[in-house]
Amino acid sequence: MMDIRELNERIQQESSFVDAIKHEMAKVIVGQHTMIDRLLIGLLTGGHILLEGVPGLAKTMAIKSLANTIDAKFSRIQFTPDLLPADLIGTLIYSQKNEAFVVRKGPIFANFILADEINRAPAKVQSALLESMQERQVTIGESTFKLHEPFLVLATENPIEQEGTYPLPEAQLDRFMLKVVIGYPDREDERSIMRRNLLHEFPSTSKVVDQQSILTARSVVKDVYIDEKIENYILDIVIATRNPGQFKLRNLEGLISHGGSPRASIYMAMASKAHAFIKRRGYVVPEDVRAICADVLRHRIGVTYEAEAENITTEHIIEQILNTVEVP
Amino acid sequence: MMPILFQLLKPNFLAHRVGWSKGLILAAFMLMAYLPSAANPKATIAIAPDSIKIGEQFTIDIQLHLPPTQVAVWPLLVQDFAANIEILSLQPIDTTNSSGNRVLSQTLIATSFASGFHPIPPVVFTIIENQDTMEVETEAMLVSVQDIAIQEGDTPYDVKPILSMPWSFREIASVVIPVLLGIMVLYYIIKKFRDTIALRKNHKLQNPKPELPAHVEALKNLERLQQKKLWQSGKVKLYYIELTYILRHYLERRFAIKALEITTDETLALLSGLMHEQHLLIMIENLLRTADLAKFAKLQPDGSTNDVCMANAILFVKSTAQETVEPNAVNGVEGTSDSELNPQTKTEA
Repeated sequence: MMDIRELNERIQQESSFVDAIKHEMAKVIVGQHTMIDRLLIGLLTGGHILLEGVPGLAKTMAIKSLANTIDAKFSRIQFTPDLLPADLIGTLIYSQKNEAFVVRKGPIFANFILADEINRAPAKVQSALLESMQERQVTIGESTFKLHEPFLVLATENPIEQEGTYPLPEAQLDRFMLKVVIGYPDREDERSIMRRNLLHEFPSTSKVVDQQSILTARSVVKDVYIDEKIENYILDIVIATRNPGQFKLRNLEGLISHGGSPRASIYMAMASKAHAFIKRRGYVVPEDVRAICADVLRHRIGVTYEAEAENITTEHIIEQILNTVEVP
Repeated sequence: MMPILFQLLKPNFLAHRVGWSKGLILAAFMLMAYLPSAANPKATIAIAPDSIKIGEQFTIDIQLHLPPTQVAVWPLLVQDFAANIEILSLQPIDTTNSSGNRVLSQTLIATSFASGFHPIPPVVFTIIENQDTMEVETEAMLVSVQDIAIQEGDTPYDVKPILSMPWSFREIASVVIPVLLGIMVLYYIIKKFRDTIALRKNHKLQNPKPELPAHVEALKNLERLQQKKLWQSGKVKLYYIELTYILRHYLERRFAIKALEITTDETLALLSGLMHEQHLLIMIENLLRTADLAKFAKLQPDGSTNDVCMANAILFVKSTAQETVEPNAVNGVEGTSDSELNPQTKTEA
């Protein structure tokens, strides 16, 4: 185990690109700092991210901007109801010249995939994407191809206009490390957005980091120290989503249909480490856990009909859990 | 015999054939011969009914007419005295007087489980008179036992159920009264128990255990932590865990914030809105940050830092202690105050 002081110094060196990326993205995106931090967490851990927000909140632009700041291959796939798995992963086509079937790779063979409006494509396309996310490889015909590293899927979905959509099942949602809900910008940020558009000022981002730096940073993130007390804190939170009665949260017992899976604990620990890295720390503190907790748990907790009838959302449940579970 | 006797008694008959005197003597002899002799024993048997269905019961009445001078030996009627006949009960021998004779009688109740005609053999009595013995016996009888006709084609049916007798008041009372008594006793015990609990609760509410003021409790706990000498024995992490727990518990009581469920950043943010003393805020921030490093980042602060943290914790508690007024002070009597801990503190709770 590396010494914390030494690790802190290493983090200071390896995390310099974080500020550079933030700076580049700030040229294009006004505000939305939390969203940018979460995108960086996904980048540093290899965890896929689902962005949810109403149209016009710069979801797609944020992802495109992030991809543009990194010297990596970027693919954007607009999910539509007539999309086929082959359109995503590729297919075998017959080459008359060679008189043989050749593999034509799909847009998934990139470092950053923007799966725009993922809930508009049918289940078979969603499955093809989610399988690639989990396995990090694609099989076309009889050949299996490893996907490029870093490989990151950033999907977006729209919480309104549910007609003609295919909501992601819980098992597939569980594969996303974070589900980030994007809210409206505040008054001043919106004023700034308005002015930029009126002046037709649309600056573009430039590449500030290469793939190797990302992979190196990922190895540093793995070394971030997480104390047993923090591990227990994470476990307490996740177990409280399953058995709230154990944590004096009997009022939540009838409101939760299913709690977080073990992936919730794993991703919470990974995301906490990445958050600590972004904050230039070599160790995780409870603040890191609390910062990413809602984004990790939001899509992993199921609420009952009773909760829906009382307008109780997963956000309310997570807030109550965080306010009750003792911080180490 | 009787027609002959009537013929003899006709006046014409005697007058024509033997003459009056001889006729009378002959008639008297014949009459005496016919009438039951007072000196002769006689045994009779009667069966009622003499025809039964299989398993039904019938009675056998045995009578022995015995002159007073005679003694009879009554035979022992055992189970197998008649084939296929079972004696169910044997009543005791009864003795009555009838026309100067003794009449000995006994009734038997019997049954048979074999169909057919079953003879009941004669019952033989031995009669003793002076030194002479003789035997007298009843007639042999016949009992007819018939099978029960089976109704072919009928579905089999069970035997009749046991007749249930209606419950008597005594029986009902013997069950109901103990149950009622049991319920009453149980009710009494539960009521007594609940009353006792309520009484204790009321007593507690009326006389709650006086809770130590937050700062007094915190200072006591800090002193106890010092005495444990945790960091001196190498348990630095545990020392800071306990130190921050005491402080956070104090903050929770003193400032009514949920300090145990919030992080250091959140605690400091809340405190900055509640306190104006910057030096105290800086002091507590340094303390909590050092504790976080010890708890979560494997930092091993040196002994002097540990002592400074303890001293700062005590100073912070004393500086932010809330003024408490003793109950007698309210009544105009001068009471003790904690304001001497830090008279110039102006914290907002």
